[in-house]
Amino acid sequence: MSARRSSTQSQNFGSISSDRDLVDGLRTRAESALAEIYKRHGGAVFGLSRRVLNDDGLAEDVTQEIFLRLWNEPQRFDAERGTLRSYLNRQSHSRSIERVRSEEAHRRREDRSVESDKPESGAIESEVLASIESNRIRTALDQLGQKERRAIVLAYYGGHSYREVASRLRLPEGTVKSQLRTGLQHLSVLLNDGQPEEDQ
Amino acid sequence: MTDKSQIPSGSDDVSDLLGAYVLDAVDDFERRRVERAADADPDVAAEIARLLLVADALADAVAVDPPTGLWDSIRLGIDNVDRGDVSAAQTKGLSNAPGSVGSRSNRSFFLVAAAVVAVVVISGSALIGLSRTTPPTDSIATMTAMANDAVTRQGTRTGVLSDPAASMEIRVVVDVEGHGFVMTDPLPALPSGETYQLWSAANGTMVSLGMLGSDPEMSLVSIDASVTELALTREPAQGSVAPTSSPMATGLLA
Repeated sequence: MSARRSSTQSQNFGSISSDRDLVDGLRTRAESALAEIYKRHGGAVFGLSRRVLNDDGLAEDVTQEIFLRLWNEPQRFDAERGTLRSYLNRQSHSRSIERVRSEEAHRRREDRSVESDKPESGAIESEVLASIESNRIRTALDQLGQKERRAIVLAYYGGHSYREVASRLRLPEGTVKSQLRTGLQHLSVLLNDGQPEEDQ
Repeated sequence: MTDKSQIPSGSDDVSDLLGAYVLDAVDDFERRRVERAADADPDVAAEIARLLLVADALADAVAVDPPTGLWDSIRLGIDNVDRGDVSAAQTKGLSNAPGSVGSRSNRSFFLVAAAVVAVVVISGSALIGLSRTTPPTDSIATMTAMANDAVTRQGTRTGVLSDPAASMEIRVVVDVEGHGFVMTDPLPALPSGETYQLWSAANGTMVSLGMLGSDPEMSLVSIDASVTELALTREPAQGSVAPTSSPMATGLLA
């Protein structure tokens, strides 16, 4: 089977096309559809990957990989299960975490001092909060209890598993699991213009 | 909810994992466990959907303008994938990719090569009518098969944890990627308020490798190459930062 672009590649997709139309365009190998998707979501994919990996070059690789995969396998996106933006964000996050873990495993094999290279948890939190330009998100994170906020920041932006977060914060794993869940629940309420269900 | 016989690690409620799941902070088996629960329980699925919206907001909060030239690299990649020409992708990547340097071009080459392989595999499957199914990797039988397969591969380490009386024998297989298969079938079930917890031990320091649940049969934990000594303890159900009891079994990986 040839993966070459068909004559429909000349079909022009632009800013008025819906994400769903653009993905349909990928199925006909229309490069303009991928270009428009990149224009809309490339910054989010790259930004999240850069945040997790803390490395622009690796984040570029991840972004390139995600868009190539979307080009090759657009059927993997299921519009019934969420938005394209959400799908790409999750791809970016999970691919970046795979890179983090792969790099760490490699470094451990080469040099077992990797633990000492890890930035201090509080530093990651401060750096992340400073880099968030969305007032809405920063305000919501500020309103979380510190323990929940730190656990979420380390897990999501730091790319750590809950076990690693527990180890870093010297907390039982069950406690961290609970903080992640309740923290997200509180953020959900806050982002919907409400108040946390309970004080922290 | 999930069939207990298919849950390989831990006895804690799957709902405890939902936050970590949404943030990609669980291991592969926990992820599958949550997804099976979501398939079976609309309440679990609804909570995941709600929490995923929060994760989306967190992702969008760190969006930035992508670097100049990145789109050109992607275009170059799709040109070469569509041509099915990896060598051309390599050559062009070295000479034409905007802002490229040697190491980055090499990475781009491997990405393009991987994409070409993906296309070829999909195409081949379609041609010969193969059905692409996902094996039930969270089943104990499958994990056992994976462990047995790992044992035959170069670089895999194995070990046995036992107690001083040699009344128990817990086999551990760690593949080169750090997947540690812990075969805990002979362990007696603990009361519901307790869990088995696996530790790495080095120079007197114990670091948790994970909770195995109160009645584990087979568990998967991440064990990196630096770990050579293992210990198993009984802990409160929430798990412990440091062991609260003496190891009931210890062993070495080699």
